[in-house]
Amino acid sequence: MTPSQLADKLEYRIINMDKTDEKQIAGPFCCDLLSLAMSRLPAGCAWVTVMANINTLAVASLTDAACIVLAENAVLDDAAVSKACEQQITVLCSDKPVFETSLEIYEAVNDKAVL
Amino acid sequence: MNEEYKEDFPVNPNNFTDAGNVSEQIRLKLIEMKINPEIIRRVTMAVYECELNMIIHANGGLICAQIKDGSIEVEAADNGPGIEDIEQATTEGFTTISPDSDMVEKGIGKGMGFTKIKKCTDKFEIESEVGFGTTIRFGIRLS
Repeated sequence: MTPSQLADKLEYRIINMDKTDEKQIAGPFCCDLLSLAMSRLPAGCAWVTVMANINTLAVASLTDAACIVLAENAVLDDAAVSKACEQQITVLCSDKPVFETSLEIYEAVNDKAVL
Repeated sequence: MNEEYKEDFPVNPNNFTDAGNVSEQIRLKLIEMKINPEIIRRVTMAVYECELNMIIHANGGLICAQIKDGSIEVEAADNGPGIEDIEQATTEGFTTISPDSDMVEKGIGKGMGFTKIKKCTDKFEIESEVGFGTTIRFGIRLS
């Protein structure tokens, strides 16, 4: 499942979409501590976080995340949106909390209900 | 692997907007060289920690990266205050950041970068003089 398919299925707001949209989402990963995400984030994951700043984008790019999903409607500032466009980083936005967002991504990617 | 590469990257102090730029440039170079993604990840993590250290604690500095004889060698020389007790600074869990620091709010965490860098690398050394800054040198085999 690509980030645009995920956004479509779960009705996430698209803050920025990588034009190629060719990354396949392996599953969700949740973490708000950037240094921990830097060492643990699996390549190809949908990174669910409320940490909406420019450093989140840097970590997502360095770790090759498929996309960032901002939970709780977290808002990226203008500088971060520009960086996302410039570096082709997909950023989606969910109004749900981190756990619910991650769970529904897990269910969507694996095509099965957990609860 | 015969390819050679050398580049110097200045790191500006307190500029969180640019954090990750040096690691990104080195990462792209390694991708271009078709290095194993797990090795790229280790290099990226180590360089990123150096960048953050320079931005947060050390008044900026210079990161020099060199690929030679199948390894990447990085030297990160900062303009910081220097480290009085290197053994303590490289001990797991040691940090100079207080829990109420705005670094924690930024999601940067508590530092502890030296132990992380050490874990990612095949060769690691640190040299510091109080009042003159700190230089980290590390090497990672690329195959």
